[in-house]
Order: sequence, then C-alpha cells, then structure tokens
Amino acid sequence: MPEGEANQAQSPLFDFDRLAISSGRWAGVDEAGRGPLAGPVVAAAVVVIEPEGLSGLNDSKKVTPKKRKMLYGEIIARQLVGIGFADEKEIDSINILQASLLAMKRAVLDLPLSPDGLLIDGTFTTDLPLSQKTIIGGDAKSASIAAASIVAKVIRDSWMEKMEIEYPEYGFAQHKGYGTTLHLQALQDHGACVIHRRSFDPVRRVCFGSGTLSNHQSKKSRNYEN
Amino acid sequence: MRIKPAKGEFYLSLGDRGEMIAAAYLTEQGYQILDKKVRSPFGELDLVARKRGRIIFVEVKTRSTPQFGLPEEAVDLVKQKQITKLAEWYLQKNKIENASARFDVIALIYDGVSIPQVRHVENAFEAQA
Repeated sequence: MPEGEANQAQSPLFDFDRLAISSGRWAGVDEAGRGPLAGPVVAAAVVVIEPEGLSGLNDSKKVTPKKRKMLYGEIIARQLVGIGFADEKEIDSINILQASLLAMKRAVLDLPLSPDGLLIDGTFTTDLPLSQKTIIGGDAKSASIAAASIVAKVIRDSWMEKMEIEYPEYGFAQHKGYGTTLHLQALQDHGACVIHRRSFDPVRRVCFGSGTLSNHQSKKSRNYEN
Repeated sequence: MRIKPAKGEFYLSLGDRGEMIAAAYLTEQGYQILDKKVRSPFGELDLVARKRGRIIFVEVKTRSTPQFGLPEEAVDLVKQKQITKLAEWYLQKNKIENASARFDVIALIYDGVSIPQVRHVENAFEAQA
C-alpha cells in the first residue's frame, strides 16, 4: 500500500509508533473523564491495522469536536477498537486512578483480537500479562494512543449527552460532568444524582454538608442518598 | 482471562467488525454492554446490554451492500425463537429476576472502507415461544 506508507511517513505520530514497537501488533490505550464530577471514566484501546485510514490524525487535543467525531467514525470502521468503562460507584470505592486503570484493562480485554503489547498514555501500567510501555503525553506522540484518545473522548461525551435525558437538571449535555459554574450551581440546587461521584469534593460538600469529612465518615455516609 | 497471543494475520470477519461497531454505537447511546458473543449449546447471543434497568438482547446483522435485502430482514421467525430461548437461558444463568427484557436488531451496512451505516431497531420483535 504505497499511499498508506506515504501518509504514514508524513506523520511524526507514526514515526514514534514504529520506533516504540519493535514487533507485533500493539494497542494504544488512553482514557477520558478523570476530572469530571459525574459519570464514568471511559477508556479505549486501538490497534492500528490500516495506517492509511488515519491520515487525518494529529495531536488529538488540537482537534475540534466535529473533526473528532469524523475521525472516530474512520477509526471504528478500519482499526481494532476496544472500549471499557469504570462507573461512578467503582470510582468512589477504589479511587479515580485505580478506576481509570480498570477501565483501560476492560478496554484491552474488549478488543476483538488480543494485542502483543500496550502503549499506555500516562505513567501507570495495567495488571494484564502483556508487555506495556507508558508514554507521558502519548496522545501527541503515538498514533495508536491518539486514536484511542479520540475514541474514549467521543464515546464518553456522547454517553454523557444521553444522560441529559435521564437527569435534565444538571446540563450534562453541555459540560459532560465537568465542574463548570453551571454544573456546580445545579448541584447546589438539586443535590447529587445517581451518576455523581460522591468521593469528589464538590459533590461530597453538597451530599454531606462539608468537604472536610474524614474518609471513614464519608464512606459511612455514602449509604444515604442526600 | 481472554488474553492470548494473536496468531497469524490480524483479521476481523465482517460479522466480528459489525459486532464491534454495534457495541460502540450502543455505548454512545448510553447503554451499558453486559456481554458480547455469549455462547451456549444452542446458539450465540451477539450483544447483551442494559439501559434504565432493562436488559436488551441485540442481534447484529452486517452486510457489505444493501443490494440483497436489508440486514434486519435476516432475523426471521426461526431466528426470533432461537434468540428468545437464548435470552431465557441467559437471564436464568445470570440469576436476573424481575427485569424487563427487550429484543433489538442492529443492522449495519459496511463496505470495509467508508464509515458504516448503523440502523438500530428497538423492540424489533416480541418474545417468541
């Protein structure tokens, strides 16, 4: 595929993947939604099997939402994609870092074919029995991580938009669960809903009247809805 | 654990790719995927999902071209009966009680290159005894 190779050569993202991966098929892994006060953390794993299908890919953080959605469609049509969630209850019980690693693990296990190794954005590896490399700022260096980052972000945003229908008071379609002024005001007015992360300070303050509760107390009070 | 080294070519059949795309589509729509490719002695469930406490059994049909009939037309009465039986078996096996179930079909037209067309038919058929 000479055309594909030309595209591949043009993108510095692909050079990185070639250097990092000496052999086999590796999956890029990234997650979206560590910061928000509500909803799941969503991870994606992508094995690039048709590089020519990723010609529009660049640093995923610089992509507009419309372009991101388009790239997502191309990725899902031509690459191997796995998706993993860890929900708000898991985040509250094992903490957000462990929950994002759990989501990543699920994303890898969700791949239709198992990869030879993982390129993971960030500094932490999963406990899967696979070769793993972590890359800080990986979505700007590796094409497979950039693709995973796009998939995770599009899926999470879209999922949160659907939550607008279930919980219309909070404006999830707008802020996707992030702690914007609008979201914090809605939390004050309506209290927390089922998908809020009760271990996150702004939510905890609303639920339990104080952000300074000790861990033990807050765990105990978590059983009570508002 | 399902991790095993990939043997030979990394290749996905049209059906496998269709299931991957359908699962991503459902996730986008706010569904939670409970299971994929559930195997039993009497057949396979493509996808099992949950939304608002409801269990949804999804049959995925993928075609590379719409020329020879629409994908969802492939879910005939025989297939509906089989899926119903599989659903009962699944609910029993996983001890899911008092959940309302629904049968959906996701029809995909995918030529291997362009962005696939996805059509999701909710409540495509009723349970068939």
